[in-house]
Amino acid sequence: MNRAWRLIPLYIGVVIILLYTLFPLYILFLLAFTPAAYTTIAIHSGNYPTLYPAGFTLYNLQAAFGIPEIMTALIKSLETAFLVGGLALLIGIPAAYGLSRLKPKIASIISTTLFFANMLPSVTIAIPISATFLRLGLNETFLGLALAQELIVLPLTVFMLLGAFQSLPREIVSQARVDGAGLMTTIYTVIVPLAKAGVAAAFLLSWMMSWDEFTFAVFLSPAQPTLPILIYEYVTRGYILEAAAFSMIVTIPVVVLVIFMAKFLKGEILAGGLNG
Amino acid sequence: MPDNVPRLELEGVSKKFGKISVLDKIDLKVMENEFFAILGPSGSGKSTLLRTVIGIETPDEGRILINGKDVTDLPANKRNLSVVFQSYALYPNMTVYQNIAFPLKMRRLTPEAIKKRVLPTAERLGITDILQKNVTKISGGQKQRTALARALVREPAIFLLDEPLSNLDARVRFRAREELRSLQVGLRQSFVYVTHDQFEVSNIANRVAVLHNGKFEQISTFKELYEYPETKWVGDFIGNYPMNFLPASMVAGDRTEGEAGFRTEWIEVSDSGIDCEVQSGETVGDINFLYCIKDDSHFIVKHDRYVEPGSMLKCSVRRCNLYVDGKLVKKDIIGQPQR
Repeated sequence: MNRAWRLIPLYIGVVIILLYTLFPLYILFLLAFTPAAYTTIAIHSGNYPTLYPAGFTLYNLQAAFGIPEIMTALIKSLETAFLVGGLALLIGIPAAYGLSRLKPKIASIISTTLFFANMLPSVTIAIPISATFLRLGLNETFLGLALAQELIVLPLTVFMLLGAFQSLPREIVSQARVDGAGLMTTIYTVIVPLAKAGVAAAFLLSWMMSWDEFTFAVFLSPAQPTLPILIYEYVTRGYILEAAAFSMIVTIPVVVLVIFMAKFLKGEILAGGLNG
Repeated sequence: MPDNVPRLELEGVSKKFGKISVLDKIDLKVMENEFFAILGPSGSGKSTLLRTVIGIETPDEGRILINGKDVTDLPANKRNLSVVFQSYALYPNMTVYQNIAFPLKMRRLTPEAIKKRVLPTAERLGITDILQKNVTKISGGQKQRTALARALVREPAIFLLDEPLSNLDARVRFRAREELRSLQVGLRQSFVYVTHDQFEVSNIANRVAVLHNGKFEQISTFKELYEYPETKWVGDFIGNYPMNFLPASMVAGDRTEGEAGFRTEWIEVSDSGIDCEVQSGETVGDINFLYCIKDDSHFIVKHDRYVEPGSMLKCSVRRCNLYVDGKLVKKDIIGQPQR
């Protein structure tokens, strides 16, 4: 009983954090599914919009999907995000493995210097990249956008993977080598499966960073925008309801992806072979 | 008995980490069919030595030969070794079968060929019924057997065992040790057993190398280590109780000043001999260990009676070794060491 009481502050904390993260989503869904009469129009007539669903409509969603750009934007966003996530792992895994074999101190110095590109304002990097990409014909392509986003995504991916790889028992890696596995085989048959939670998290994070990325997208792909740019355009033009519906569309793939990857993110990662 | 063919040879292997010398000109020869133990306290350089032999660490100087072939510059996966680590280092994402099969898979054997070798190995170690289980779901003893099976499944030049029993229950450990020994005898292979626990290898190793500060203090049978430690340090390290040392001189021909080294069972309470004061006592079963002090030296005497601290005793030494500058110079001196 006593123990249960002591947990109450913890539960209060959990509730506050949940409210903090879920409330904006709730407002978004409210806005997207409530008829305009209770939301945007209510504001124009000087009333505060209701915080509960005053009605239900699919009209906003239909209107949003009626805009032809949305499908191309959605596809472009998806292509870019998956390419960014994939490239991040393709380059990040060997890089992080190499760093994980160094002394932790040196590894952390190197992985910190990787964040150099993140320290500069994206705009200052995006403009020269845009100029170069124009020459290379990479502007407006999802490949070009993905490559640029990799600049800010990769350091973080490497950082996360490094943490995951460093926490693996060294003996397992040594064991794999003694058992006859070469470097690449060791990485892909032993290390990556063992660090799958970290790898999944790194993929998810890079995917989401790309999905939500704005600055590079606006400079490198202004004519065929990704979803965040499209939403921005609609919000600035005053189409709040369509923007809300778009925003919902943006969150759905993230939710699907998180659910799909949940089984990798949890689990008995290091349970085996470590304790007697 | 070991044959006279060297399987693993180390010639002047040295390794430094920064300025600290971890291995200092190590020379070593492990013969075919030998059960060889490397014994050392923590920090003695055991793990570095093992990692150097495996190929995870490269020596700064010296050569490593396996079956007479220089492998110093070969990576771990190109040396023909098997290893069982203390943690067993099983691949947690695989079943018992997949773990045992892994070294064979890396050698590109066909699934049928792999099966042909995994099954008898598993049977030999009595783990046939858990082959399809995930290694996270088996007991400590089963994990140890799986790790052993994975080491045994191919025929390496040498088996390296890094404290393979220390994660086992004390009760299981005794049996596991015997099994390990009979496994080695049955296979007629070379085993190198690395441990900090002398009692694990005292009965099963053909030879024991004592590692201290990156150097071998002595390489001999365990009996030799116990009775004739070549240095005072070994005498101190080996045995349930450290070897006793008393300043002494030997009067045979020339007078030799040094220290008499004797085991607790080589000294007894008697009517005449060394005068000493009992400092404290410890009773184990029906034996009393008396901590005695003479001048500035301490020694331990076994006695059948408990003696109050503070009492004076006379002890006589039946046999001892003579040490000069901490090194053994004469074995088996019969009679009382003289001051």
